[in-house]
Amino acid sequence: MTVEERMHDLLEAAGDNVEPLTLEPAQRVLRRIGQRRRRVASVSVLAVVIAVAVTGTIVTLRHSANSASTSAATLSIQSRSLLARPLHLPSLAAGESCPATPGERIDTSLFSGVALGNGPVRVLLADRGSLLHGQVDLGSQQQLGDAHGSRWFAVQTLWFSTPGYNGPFVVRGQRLAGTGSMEVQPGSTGLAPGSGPLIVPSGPTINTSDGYRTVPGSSWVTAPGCYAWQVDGKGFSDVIVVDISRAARG
Amino acid sequence: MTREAEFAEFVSARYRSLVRYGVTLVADVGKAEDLAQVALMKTHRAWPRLATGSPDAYTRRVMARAAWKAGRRRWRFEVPTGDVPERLAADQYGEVDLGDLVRRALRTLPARQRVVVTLRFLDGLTEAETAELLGCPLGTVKSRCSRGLATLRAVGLLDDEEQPSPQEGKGAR
Repeated sequence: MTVEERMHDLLEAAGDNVEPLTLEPAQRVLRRIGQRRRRVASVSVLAVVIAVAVTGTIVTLRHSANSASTSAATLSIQSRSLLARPLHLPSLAAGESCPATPGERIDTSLFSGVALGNGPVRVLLADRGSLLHGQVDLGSQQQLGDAHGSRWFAVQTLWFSTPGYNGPFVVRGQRLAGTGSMEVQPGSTGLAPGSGPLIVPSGPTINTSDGYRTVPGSSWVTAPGCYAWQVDGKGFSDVIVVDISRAARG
Repeated sequence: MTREAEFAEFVSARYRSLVRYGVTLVADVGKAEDLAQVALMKTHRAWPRLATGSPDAYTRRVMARAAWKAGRRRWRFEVPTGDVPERLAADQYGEVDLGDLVRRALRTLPARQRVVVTLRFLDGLTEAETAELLGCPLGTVKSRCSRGLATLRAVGLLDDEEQPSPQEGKGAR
């Protein structure tokens, strides 16, 4: 008997009397596949959240460094000028449907999704909903409380300026009908009512590519409803209307 | 039959055989089950292109590669020493305990030697085929195989006079 034959017999014998302990291996493997998928999904979401939080923090810090924070004392002259512009949001009668701004698909090297607006500064919506119709569904999202006892929902946003516009812009938000507030904040570093509006100085943001300057963030609302953002920049003042609902998801 | 049902049927039919194969790779039933399940997860992913091929052979290749890669980790080199360097010998229970004897002997091998020995002598791959499967140099396969056999001789599993055939080719399957 050659050593190959002897070894083959021995190794086959290694499996003798070996009985797996797993009773339903197929179910076990499929369950592990499901667990792994959920883990990968969780890690992906966590990575996105961390990336947005880090980016938002840096953007916020940069705003401070560029004298563009919400503190009136440190605002640039340009930003103060933009903030001084009056709001010219549409009025909405009781029972009137929300004149939501239609969305449009956009795909760049930095981001892709559905964006609202057609001016130099637009907003990409990260939540679900009929985004092409300007409708955001907050689903079963839990409200967060602030120090003043108010409860808030977050609408995830990515504000961006299109190539060709490199100037400052300011974003303010307001509900068009009914009671409720909207806070437009940079980053997702946590709910901080009063820290809005969003003020972006001229020049590149932390994420700038192919002429697109982006600012991740959240707009916080106290209730579903029809809201509008007013975006002011050098030479333009645009209004973007969004219909925020909270339909149950399947 | 749905993809999931086909896969479940395959697992049910081949799991025991795969675990037994895994035992020669990792010398432990618990680790062999884990190895088989991890490999089957990859098989599930590749199922659409494997259904008409050989999912069993694919799963075994994945198991061998996984065991080989795991052998890089330092802790894998902590070899149980309870039976070393005593010579292992079959007792009066003969065949019934031969499997246990072999498993104990395999546990004395470093992880990568065990993988090479399994591929060479259980799967009957040539040294070149083994090197290709594991993505390592031919010399590595030769040296690990040689050391593995030497260790198995030292613990009494192989007779001293038993030598590998000089002819390179497929071994017994």
